[in-house]
Amino acid sequence: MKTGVLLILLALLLAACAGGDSGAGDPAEAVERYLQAKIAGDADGVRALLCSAKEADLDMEAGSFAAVEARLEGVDCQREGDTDVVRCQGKIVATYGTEDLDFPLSAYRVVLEGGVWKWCGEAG
Amino acid sequence: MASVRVLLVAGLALILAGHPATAQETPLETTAHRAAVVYAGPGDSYRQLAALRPGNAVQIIERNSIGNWLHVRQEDRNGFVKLDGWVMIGYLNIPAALHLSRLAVNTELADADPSAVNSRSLAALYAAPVISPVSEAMRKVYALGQQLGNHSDVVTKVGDSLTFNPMYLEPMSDPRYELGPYDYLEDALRYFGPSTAGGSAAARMALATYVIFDPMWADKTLCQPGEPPLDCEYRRKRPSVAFILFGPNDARHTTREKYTEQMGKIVTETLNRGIIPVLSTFSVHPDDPYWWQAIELNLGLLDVAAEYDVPLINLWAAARPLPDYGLDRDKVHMKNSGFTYLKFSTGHESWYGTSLRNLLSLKMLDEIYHSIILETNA
Repeated sequence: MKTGVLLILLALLLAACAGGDSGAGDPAEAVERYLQAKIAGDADGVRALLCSAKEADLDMEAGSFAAVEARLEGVDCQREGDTDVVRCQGKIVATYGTEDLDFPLSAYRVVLEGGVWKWCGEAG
Repeated sequence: MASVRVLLVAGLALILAGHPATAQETPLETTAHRAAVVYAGPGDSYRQLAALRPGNAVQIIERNSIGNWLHVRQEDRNGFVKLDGWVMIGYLNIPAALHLSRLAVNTELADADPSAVNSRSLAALYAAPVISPVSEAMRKVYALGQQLGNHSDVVTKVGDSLTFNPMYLEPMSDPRYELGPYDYLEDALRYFGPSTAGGSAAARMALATYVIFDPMWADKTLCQPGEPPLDCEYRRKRPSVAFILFGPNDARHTTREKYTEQMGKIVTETLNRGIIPVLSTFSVHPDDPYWWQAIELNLGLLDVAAEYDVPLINLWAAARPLPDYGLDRDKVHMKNSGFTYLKFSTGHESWYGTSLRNLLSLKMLDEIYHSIILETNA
């Protein structure tokens, strides 16, 4: 019995690792973590998940929500097949004074750099 | 600075000598409808001379270039000058016969007397004219815009909630306008006014100088994927003029260096598209905890305007004599008059920040219209 459970767990683990980007993590999760870092103004978090092509935008990306209190609501990101696009549902809600501003999430491009999935701007 | 001071002294001497008005042989008479401070020049940094009491009759001698300050004089029966100085137009009962186009313009006095201001920073800010001259360089920018397919009669706005405010600029599209004495602004209003309807994709609450380049802040119903708000607005409207005001949000988290760097990027982006950027300082309440930072950013903006030789509206200086500096109860946003169309017939521009900003923007459009567009088209 014990051996059976172990085999099942091993099989699940192998299946998880067979996703094609072994060790790179989930691109959808990378986008969610990026969005979280961005609205929190977490410069280190943004830097770690921003693709090299967008490096020049680091200050803007990290400072974009500095004037507001922002949170993520109903976020659900999914990679579109094997493409480099992650589409997200949900929104960013930013509170400015007494008003809430909604930023509906959209589709984002991701790239694999140094074995890590990184956010690389909005997808066209 | 020294030459400005000489000019100011000369101008003051002329006033004190009671020099006669040149354009109108019979000056119009009016009265104040409430107590008004009379200054030695057209701005609140000038020395306060006296108080004009409601009901007291004065003669209107001349105006500043905008027309929101009038030089008035009061004489006794023997022709002795009892009072001679400047008041804001909104404190006077405006005679129906007052047409600013026919009133002499005082070109000797500056908009402020910085030498009377104690703080060096504030003096520097006061020293900038309320409406800067439109440089020759802007003629080339306009010409480039025409080559790129910009519309000469389209104007737009770029900025945060102060600019997003539908009561800023957009009322110029309402045909019910009442220019009152500002008849000289009618041509510019008719030319640019219709284009101001419908708001701007580059004006939104909480926007700051960084954010204007961030596609995440773009209105997805108007803008393309990955398109920043600034690019989106310029692509949609193809304007020839853009009014740009940032600062109240930046002051809370940005240094002067970063602010001027970002404003420089916005100006460069605007110039490259053949659009004349009109920068504007912003009003700030002395109670604001970020007061000095806001002053710093405004001073930085003067540097940006000078570096790129672009037009500047010194809204900060112009709004100083307004109640609460033209600001609303929150001491951040400019106060609206409550009218959804331009109404300068009853002196709102002396009481409400948004009305003043509309007037100054229209005045700047008038300058651009006459000095660049009409001349180029001719």
